[in-house]
Order: sequence, then structure tokens, then C-alpha cells
Amino acid sequence: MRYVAVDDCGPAINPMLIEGQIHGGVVHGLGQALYERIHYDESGQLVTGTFVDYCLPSAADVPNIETDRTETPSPTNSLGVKGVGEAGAIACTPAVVNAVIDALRPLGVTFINMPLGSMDVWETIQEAKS
Amino acid sequence: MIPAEFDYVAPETLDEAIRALADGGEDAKLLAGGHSLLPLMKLRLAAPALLVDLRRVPDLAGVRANGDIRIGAMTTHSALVRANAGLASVAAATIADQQVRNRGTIGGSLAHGDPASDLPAVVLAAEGTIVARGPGGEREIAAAEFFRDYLETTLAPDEIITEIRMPGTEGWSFGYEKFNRRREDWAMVAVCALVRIESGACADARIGLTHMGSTPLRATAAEAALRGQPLEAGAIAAAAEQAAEGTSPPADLNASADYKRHLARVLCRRALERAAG
Ligand SMILES: Cc1cc2nc3c(=O)[nH]c(=O)nc-3n(C[C@H](O)[C@H](O)[C@H](O)COP(=O)(O)OP(=O)(O)OC[C@H]3O[C@@H](n4cnc5c(N)ncnc54)[C@H](O)[C@@H]3O)c2cc1C
Repeated sequence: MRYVAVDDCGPAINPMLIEGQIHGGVVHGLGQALYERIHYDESGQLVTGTFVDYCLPSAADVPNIETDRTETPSPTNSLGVKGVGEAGAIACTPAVVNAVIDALRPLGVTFINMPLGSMDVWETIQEAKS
Repeated sequence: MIPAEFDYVAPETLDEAIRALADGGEDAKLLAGGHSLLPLMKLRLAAPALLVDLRRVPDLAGVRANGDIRIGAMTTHSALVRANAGLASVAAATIADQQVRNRGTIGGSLAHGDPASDLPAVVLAAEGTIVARGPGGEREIAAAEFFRDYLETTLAPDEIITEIRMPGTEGWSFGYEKFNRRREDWAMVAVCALVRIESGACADARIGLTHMGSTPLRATAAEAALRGQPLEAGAIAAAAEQAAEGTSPPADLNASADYKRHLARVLCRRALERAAG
């Protein structure tokens, strides 16, 4: 698995901070794509109330993240800078979900609900095959 | 998040620990690594009045592998990994993260009786025994007799596990396959396979299943299908198809019973392929 993030936040004032923000955002986006789910059972009990059940990716679950950037200054402020905090998170979730759908396309799959737990993917494959 | 009030003792000998546990009666609990017991206490699902900590009791930790394998009850998962004692060490390396492995012990893992834990099925498949000491003396319990139900074992409340014994593995090869949501989670399903190969054929097979029932299980149908067969892809795949035979795995949010049966079959095939080399 390879993850490449190319972002543009204008002139890079603190490149290390930018990479840190991108890395954190990508991991956040992975969590939304693959793990994070709030689930209530039939009696209205929240069953994902701790971090054992409400699952976030840890360092061991994250692929190597390659970053690169273009620098297009913003015309609306004197430094030419733009936000970077959410960039990784915004791009990552659809990228991961679309990659899964692309992999399943030969089976005729065009949609799959988030988060993509392994069972959800397996069930989608079973349904597509039957 | 805050446990109910409790008393705490850390005896210096095994006899003292046995006495403290007996004197404490029903409300006393042993404390090993605390990584199963303390979370339960913090959630107030357990409220022992007395904790008898085993950490000062000498000679309960350590792995000896000459002929058979003997693992002291207080051996941490990381010490077991470092001991390089075959299947048990490989399985222990998949438990949670380094912090948990540095505290959690094999004795605590077996006594807790969680069918999602890694080591119970390993000890069951290896046909190991659990050595326990209580006021009435010592007894050795076969793993097949030890696990009774979800979080329930046949260990008496006044008994302390001192050692886990497993037969030597010379002539056996093994594979361990665990599937979880995240790298550091409990197993959705795990499969351990031990095979003895004689002139290219499988002379014997022992397959353990984690999280496929309320206790760890043996995949007896797959074992039987493999015995006497050549250990090649076709025979392995055919045997692995029977890995979930007779099981009714507990479903949860992330894995239905059907999905778990599918996982058991796939993981069994992979574990056998690994064992076959
Ligand atoms: C975040 C997290 C993730 C985990 N993931 C995994 C995993 O992936 N796989 C896995 O297998 N485990 C996992 N565990 C459990 C971990 O391995 C525990 O440490 C282990 O199951 C219990 O061992 P312990 O030494 O911590 O026992 P404790 O919590 O101290 O005790 C557990 C129970 O066993 C009893 N007990 C302890 N020692 C003895 C003894 N010698 N004789 C008799 N009774 C005894 C106690 O009274 C108590 O009832 C995880 C734990 C945590 C917190």
C-alpha cells in the first residue's frame, strides 16, 4: 500500500509543521474511511462507547505517507499562505473508499457504505457474486 | 473509571499467597499483570475486596524448554516472545501492544478464560496442562478440561496457577494466523496449527481456534481430514474447508457468525500452509 499526499498551502513557512499536519489529517481520514462508527443497539445502548470499541487507527495501522507540495500563493493575504490543517483528512477518506470501490469494480460494485470494516467489504463481495 | 475500594497484599511466598487468597474468601482475587482484571474493576464489572498480588512470589516467571516446555504463570507475554519457544512465543508476539505485553502474563490470560485471547487456544491445541496449587495441594489440569465457558474455567477460586506445561515440539512445525481490525486488537478469529510430518505426509495435526465459541476450540474435523494426507495445497485447502465445522461463533458488531466461519477457513489454510513450509 502506498499513500501519496500532494498539497498546496501557499509558501511553506514551517515545512515540518506542514508535514505533521498532513500526516495527522491522513490518519484521521483513514479512521473515518475504515474504522470510526457510532453504533446503538436495539435498546438504545451505545455499544461503541470506549476506544476499545470506537476504533481509531494507531501508528501500527498506518502506511508510510509520502508528502509533496506545490506552492501557489494566495492573493488574499500579504503572506500568501493558506490553511493546511484539514487537507490530509479531506482528501484521504474519499481516496481510500474510491480505491476499494475501484478494486471491486470487476464485480460490478459501485457503492459501499463507510466505515469499510473487513466484514462490510466481504459482505459486499458476497452479494455482488450472488 | 475509578474502581471500588479494595485492600491489597503482596505476599513473599507462594504458601502465603495461597493463605491470603483462602482467608479472603469469595471477595479475594489474584492480581498478575492486571491488564484484564483492572479494566473490569474500573468499569465496576468486578469489585474484589482484596487483591493478592503475585509479583513478589519467587520462581513463578520463566520459560524452560528442554524436552517439554514449562512456562511459569507470571511469565509476561514479552518474556515469552523473547524465550523463542515456538508457537506460544509467536502467538504471544501478536498480543496487543508492547505495553500490554510487558505486563500481561500467561497465567492471567488462561485464568481469565477469554476465548478471544491468543494463548488459551495455543495451550489447548498443544495439548498442554495447567499446574495449579491450592490449600489442598497441587494438581495438573489438562487444557481440554480447563476452559468451561466464557470467562469461566475449572480452576477453583482458592487455586493459583503456577506453571503451564506443553509437550516438546520436536518433529512438529506450526503456523499462527490472527485476523483483527487493527494490528493491536484482540483476534476477530485466530487459528493455530501444529503438524507432524513423516515422509511427506501429515502424521498428526492439532488445530486450535480462537474466538470461535465461548471457549477456545479444536478444529477436530479439519484435523481428521488432514491426518495421513500429503501436506500439499490440495489436501490443506480441503481440510481447511472444515475448520469451522460444528462451531457457533459469537457474533459482534464487527464480525457476524458467518464471517467468522469464513475467517476460520481462510486462516486455517494459511496456518497449515505456513506449517507445511
Ligand atoms: C488494550 C488491551 C489489549 C489486549 N489485547 C489482547 C490480545 O490481543 N490478545 C490477548 O490474548 N490478550 C489481550 N489482552 C489481555 C492481556 O493479555 C492480559 O494481560 C491477559 O489476558 C491477562 O493477564 P494479566 O497478567 O494481565 O492478568 P490479570 O488482569 O492480573 O488477571 C486476570 C485474571 O486472572 C486471574 N489470575 C491472574 N494470575 C493468576 C494465576 N497465576 N492463577 C490464577 N488466577 C490468576 C486474576 O485473578 C484475574 O481474574 C489485552 C489487554 C489490554 C488491556
